[in-house]
Amino acid sequence: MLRTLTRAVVRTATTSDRVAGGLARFATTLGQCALVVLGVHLAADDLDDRVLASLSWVVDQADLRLAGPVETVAGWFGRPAGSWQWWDALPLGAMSGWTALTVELVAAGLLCGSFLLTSRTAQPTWVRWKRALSVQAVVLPLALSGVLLAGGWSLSMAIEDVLPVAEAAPWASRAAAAVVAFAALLRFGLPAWLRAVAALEPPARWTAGWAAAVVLLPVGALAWIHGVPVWGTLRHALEAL
Amino acid sequence: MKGWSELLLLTGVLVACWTRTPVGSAAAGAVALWRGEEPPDLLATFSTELPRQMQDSIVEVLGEPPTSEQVFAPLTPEELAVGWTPAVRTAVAAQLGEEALAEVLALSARIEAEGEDSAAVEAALETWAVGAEVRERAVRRARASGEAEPGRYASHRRFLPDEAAVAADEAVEQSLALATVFDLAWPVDPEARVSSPFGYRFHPVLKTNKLHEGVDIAVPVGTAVHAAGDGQVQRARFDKVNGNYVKLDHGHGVSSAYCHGEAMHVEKGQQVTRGQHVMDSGSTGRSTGPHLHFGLRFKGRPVDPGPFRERGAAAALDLPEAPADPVVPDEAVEG
Ligand SMILES: [Zn+2]
Repeated sequence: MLRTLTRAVVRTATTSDRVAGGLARFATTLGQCALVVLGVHLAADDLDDRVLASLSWVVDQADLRLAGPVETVAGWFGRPAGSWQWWDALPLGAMSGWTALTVELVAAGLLCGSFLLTSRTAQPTWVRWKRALSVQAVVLPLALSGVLLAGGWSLSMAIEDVLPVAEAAPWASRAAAAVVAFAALLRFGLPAWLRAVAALEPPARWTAGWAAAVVLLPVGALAWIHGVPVWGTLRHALEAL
Repeated sequence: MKGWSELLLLTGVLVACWTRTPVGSAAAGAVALWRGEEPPDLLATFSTELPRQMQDSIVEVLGEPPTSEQVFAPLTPEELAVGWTPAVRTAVAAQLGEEALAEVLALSARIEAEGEDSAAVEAALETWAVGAEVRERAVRRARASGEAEPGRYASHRRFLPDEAAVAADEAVEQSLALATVFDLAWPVDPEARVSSPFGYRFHPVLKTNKLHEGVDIAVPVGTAVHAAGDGQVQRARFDKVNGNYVKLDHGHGVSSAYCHGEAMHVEKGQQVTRGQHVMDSGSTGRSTGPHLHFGLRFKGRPVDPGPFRERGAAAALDLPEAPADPVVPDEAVEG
């Protein structure tokens, strides 16, 4: 009787522990992906502006170079001038928005996949990384680190925005936000990065991963440039010197 | 304890993800569809998407702009002290209401006194809409990320919370866009006859209704055409439709165009001031008689410049004699 009871208790404890362990692993994975999604969006938001500016430039150039010839051709067909200037009616804002969103989703998928689709055994080492040297081995760690840092900053801004402003201690909400951001980077960001780097395999060719790099490079660069809140401070410090 | 803090951390990250990213919008959209509600816009979390949503309301205001008396009512000493123009005062009143006027003015005076900002009007409008703390946060974030002019609204807008950004857009962007429009002058003598107004009209060649994206003003060849406002020359060139054609960018999404000129006096990229002689009118391009096609656009959308004619009449410009008449409509399609 007693033995049965003990066994039942032990079994329940073990099961709940396993469930808790599984939940924790699931929670970590979810947190890692969420941090990536946050960071990628900070970069994509900036990408949207840049795509819009480039599209506007292209349309301006098209208008400058094509307006005359197109009008001539339209004239041959007896169409009034201006009726074929399709570029004037392009919804540039929506085009840039959807482009940025597509890049964002692809980048988030690639980055999450880089640590989700691996076994979590090995630790990354310098030697292993050098053996795996390829386009992917360079671009992925750089892009992922920028995106994770940007995700941390985005999280800290979200926390700061929901906290009330304390008149007496305006720095309190900032400090709290910073603590949460650093905790998320340590708990979710760092393990994700280590896992992704450890998973890099020796490539068949050094160009391996170039297609992914086309998406990851701009996203990573923008995340580093606009998603890491240190450049202003650094510039201030340099100007003070 | 560790478990709980981890759970809390995860909740924070997920909530941030839900409210601030398109992935979150998609998840929220799935929930909304499941409940039979309207899903949110996937592009809503992109900061550039927000200003695109305000076109309709401003076009409404532009359809019935304030009268000359309102625009040219003398400024109070307080308004003069903070560098307001009549157009700014009128725009703030039209956009935010008369009650807001005194509040924005007080904020302007305070910001001027603190010497914090070169763009005091902009800062005052934003502070009025979102509060000083929220604005200060966004400025600080923009500064940290390395923005060159973090105090400018355009530089720190993306660091505002989404709802605050929408409120600030209405107050800052719309008011300043309206102020820009209210400050525009008529490019030629306001007494000159409008031979073809803005709006849909039957097109003799296409045999359909086509939008006439401006007004045709009957002026003889060689009449001096003046810039309607301060701005930069976006286009100055010849094409077979518009003839000699000048387009000016006045900022805040406002642009004006002048078509069928005999000669142009400005080049692309050049800065011009209100009233500057930019073109001589003519009948070049697809035009059936001497006239000026004057177009006005807001955020790329054509709006009727007609209501501003009376306003323009009051603007002190050095304008030529009243012109001779008759003119037939044209097909200008300035881009
Ligand atoms: Zn016309």
